[in-house]
Amino acid sequence: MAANGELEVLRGRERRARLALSADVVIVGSGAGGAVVASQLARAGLAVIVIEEGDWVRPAEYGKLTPTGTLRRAWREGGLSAAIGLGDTPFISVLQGKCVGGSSVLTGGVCFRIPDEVLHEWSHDLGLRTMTPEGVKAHFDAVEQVVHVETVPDAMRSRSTELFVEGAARMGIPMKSMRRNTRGCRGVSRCNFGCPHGAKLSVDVSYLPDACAHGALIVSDALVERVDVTGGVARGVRGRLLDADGTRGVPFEVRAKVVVVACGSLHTPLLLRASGLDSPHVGRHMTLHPGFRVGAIFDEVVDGWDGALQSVYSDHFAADGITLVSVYPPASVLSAAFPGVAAHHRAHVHKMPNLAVFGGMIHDQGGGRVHRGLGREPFVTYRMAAEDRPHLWRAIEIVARMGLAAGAREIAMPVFGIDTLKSERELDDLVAHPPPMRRVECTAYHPLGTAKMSVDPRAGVVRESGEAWQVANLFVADGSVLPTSIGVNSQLPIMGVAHKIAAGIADDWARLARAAA
Amino acid sequence: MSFVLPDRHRAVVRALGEALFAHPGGPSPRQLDALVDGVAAHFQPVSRVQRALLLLALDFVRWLPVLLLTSLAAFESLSVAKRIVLLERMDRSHVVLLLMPLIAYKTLLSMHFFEDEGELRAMGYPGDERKRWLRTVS
Repeated sequence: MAANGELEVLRGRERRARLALSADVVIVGSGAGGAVVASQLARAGLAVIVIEEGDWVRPAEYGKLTPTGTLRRAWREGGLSAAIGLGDTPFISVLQGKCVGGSSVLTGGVCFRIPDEVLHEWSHDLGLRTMTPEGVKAHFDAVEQVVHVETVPDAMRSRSTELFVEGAARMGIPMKSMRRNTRGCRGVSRCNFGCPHGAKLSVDVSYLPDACAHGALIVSDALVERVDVTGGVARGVRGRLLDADGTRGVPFEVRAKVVVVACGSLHTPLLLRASGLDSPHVGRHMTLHPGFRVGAIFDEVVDGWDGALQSVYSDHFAADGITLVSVYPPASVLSAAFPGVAAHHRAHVHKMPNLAVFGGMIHDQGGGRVHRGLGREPFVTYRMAAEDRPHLWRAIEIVARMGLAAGAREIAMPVFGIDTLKSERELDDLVAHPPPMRRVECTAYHPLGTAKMSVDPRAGVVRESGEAWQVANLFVADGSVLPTSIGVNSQLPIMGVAHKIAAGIADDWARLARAAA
Repeated sequence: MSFVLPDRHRAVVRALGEALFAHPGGPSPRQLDALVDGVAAHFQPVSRVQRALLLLALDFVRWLPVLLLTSLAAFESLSVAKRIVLLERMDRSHVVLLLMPLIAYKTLLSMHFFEDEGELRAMGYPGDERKRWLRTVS
């Protein structure tokens, strides 16, 4: 596998003439799902074209960009996308990549396989026969080898993480080392803005170079507007190349025997709808893994930026749908989360060297929906399930108590408009009288489930193979096919499932080619 | 076509930054210029709908003193002290309409403002050199 090779990208922003291409397979989206499929099918000898809406940010540029510069270049909506909370639900930032490599460029590199209990639910309760631990093992094995999944050494834990681990130990909460797709991590804690040392093996430095080495072509700055469907069979895609400022330029089309949609859970349903799929499940059932961060201010100097951005987790509360995870974003990003304004806010910001941060997320029940927006971006709503609210509060409370148990003198809660807490008693009061959920600061990196797989066309959008129930030769291979929330970071699960779908396409190529003829 | 943030919105961003990050001796005009330019650049990659919402939020902040019956002047015309009082009121508010514009702009402005090397040094950030990873090498 040719990792860290150079990509060859046809940049739509540099082209002024119409573009007409043909291939065996056209893949819409170059993120964790699309890149894996591209590599697999290119290796199988098929002519592959990958279409990416976003820009190509060369890995050598990551270290030169500030966090806000990366937000502008590589994040969808400049990092300002959100799900509107319905009812007593937080307003949730939903963060996604829009660049060659997609969100894999912007993850913390955390790699979990789909938990066995989730697979058990899928295979037994939902009837997805091949979605078993045994059925997906070979695919995860293969993916983990390519993106070099390794356990984070204890020595790479930041002091921030060590303190929370100490607090957790005092509360009897075990922590485990995470696994991440890194090689040679130097612990600069800015994985979410592209690794400046090329240590994170996101798909733009792993799978996509391999796809290119096997003949695949990547087209960036190209917005697919619809999948061409004739006689119930997908025939290709069409859309517009985008200028540097994102405005639509000249048209393009790609004729292909198979179309794979992998634009992520927010945009895949929009493309499926625009292409005539009218299943009531398109755009529904979205889960988010609503997540949060708690800050803890200690007397000692923590310098939490020195160490891996994420290094430990706890599944001790998995029965309550809670996963605890270490995290430490760049200082400028953290500064926004401190309470207050003006001198009050500044006083908190200047405590940054003494700040430790820890987070968590919940294995949510769904309640999200992707609607067509007024423009290119979707309008996303999310109604938090009644049973998820106490789980989220409990998770926040646990992490706050971990900070206090570790000896923090102040706790910055993820609640808008409240000052830091100084004692267990203040935390008890807050827990006894929690503010409305809409005041909780929540972030989501893992939207899933908006084109879910099913064994019955009445229950989902795609088959277990990833092929759409309504259109032959149209596959979906991203997080939108996962039928439920998984409770863990979604990068590796998406890669594993995409690998399985790609293997199915390769195995079934003769039938697919006949259908396309 | 490139989007240019209108002058009236630039004035509100500047006034917001001046109040949000007020401290003795700062922020400096240079910092505020850089802040406004940075935020204006952030309007470029977002969709038209998102941009319209962000501009609407700035207009809302601009006329908030009138809407809350605290003054007949626009936000940017208030003294820094009065702007801070208004922002603190938004920060504590249980009304989503008041809270959300503050959260959005406090987040955006803070990320830009505290990227400034002088501000990073002032908060104790030592730069991008790291030591812990060396333990894994040795």
